[in-house]
Amino acid sequence: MPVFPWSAPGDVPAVGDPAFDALLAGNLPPQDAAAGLRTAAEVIAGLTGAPAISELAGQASALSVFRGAAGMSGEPTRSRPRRHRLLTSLLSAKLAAAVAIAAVTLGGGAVAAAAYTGALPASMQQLAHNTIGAPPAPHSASSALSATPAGPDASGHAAYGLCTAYAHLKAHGSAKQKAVAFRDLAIAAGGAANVTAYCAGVAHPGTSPSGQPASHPTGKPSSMPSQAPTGHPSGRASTVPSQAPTTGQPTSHPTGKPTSIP
Amino acid sequence: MIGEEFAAVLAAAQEGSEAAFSVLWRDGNPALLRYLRVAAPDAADDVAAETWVQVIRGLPGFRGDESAWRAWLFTTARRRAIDEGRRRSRHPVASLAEVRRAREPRTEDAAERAMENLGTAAAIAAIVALPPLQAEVILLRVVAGLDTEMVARMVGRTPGAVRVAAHRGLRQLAQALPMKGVTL
Repeated sequence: MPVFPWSAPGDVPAVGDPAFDALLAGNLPPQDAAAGLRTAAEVIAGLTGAPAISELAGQASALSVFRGAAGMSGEPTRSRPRRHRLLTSLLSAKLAAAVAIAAVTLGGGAVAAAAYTGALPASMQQLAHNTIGAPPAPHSASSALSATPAGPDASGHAAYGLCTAYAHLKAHGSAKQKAVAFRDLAIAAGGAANVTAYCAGVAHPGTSPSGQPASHPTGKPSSMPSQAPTGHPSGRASTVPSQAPTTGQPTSHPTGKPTSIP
Repeated sequence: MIGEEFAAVLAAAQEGSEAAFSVLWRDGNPALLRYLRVAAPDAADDVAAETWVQVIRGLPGFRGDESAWRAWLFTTARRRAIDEGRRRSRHPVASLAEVRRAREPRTEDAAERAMENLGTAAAIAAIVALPPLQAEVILLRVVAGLDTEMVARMVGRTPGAVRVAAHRGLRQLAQALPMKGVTL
């Protein structure tokens, strides 16, 4: 049979051939593949190529969701003063927050913080409840106004998050994870000796004035009706820039050791 | 793939580190989008964003190594893709195959992305042409990097059936005409 030096496909191996397993495992680049497998190898190479710019375009939006969620669970004490300033300015920018949450349909960041202080209009609060598990919109206007920006909610969330994170890691985590969690807890409690008392006093966070618990980050979706979209009024979620700081700037959020203890 | 540093990156992200979360996101999102361009063609960006919302919520409670992480990421994406298909078609849907048949792929999206990454767009177009099970199995093995046993659990087949489906899909790709204009 004549051999053609150009695009002759050659014989494709049968199902079960180890060459296919090699392709699937990423161990057979196109230049090493037999002629019969070359097109398949090129498809695999295309699927596993470097990320395109369009595939990384949603990063700012994802980070704003991440920041919002970080406001729910425990954070080291050092970040609390920053959140306090943010919340104070939010009360005067309630309208800006309402516009922002309509635009950034996933919510998050400064807007998410507002969702915990009753600083959002009820319809927006319900959206935040559905998307990020913030407390549901309160039924009475007076209960919404009674929450203060620097009040128990801010430390309540941090304490609950830190205490439960440490308790969980004590049972299931590695020694390193446990040590890190305990360190953060001790800082928040004002000393290792105070940890027990600190955790004994934390209330269940996210309990709105009407007594309903917020949803927990368990990985399951919150109680949304299955026919309603998850807060997508415009149908597109990832292309609107958030109002949070851009990712290129270093923030004062701690990622490791704190430098001072207040 | 993040590799050896995965455990440290995960722990830092669970503590609230945005830099660490960015590493997880930048590693996972392109793969997610490539899978979803086949599993949820009209809604890949939306479903990817919804997937991250759910993963971020569950992040503090996640325990596992990198392959468990990828399994969780793609299981979440797969479920959201099926939910999205149900929402759009308004019929009860039993399988990803039915979801895909209910939609028409938007060729304009494929053309836009082709300008940025010709190899990837052409590869996705080739995968979309395969029967749904073969397409999904190849994507979960190659793009999600999951092993045969995990893929079998996700798609509800035996590992042997998964391997056969993957091989059949690759044979069909191998028999297609070579792609024009792809430089590697």
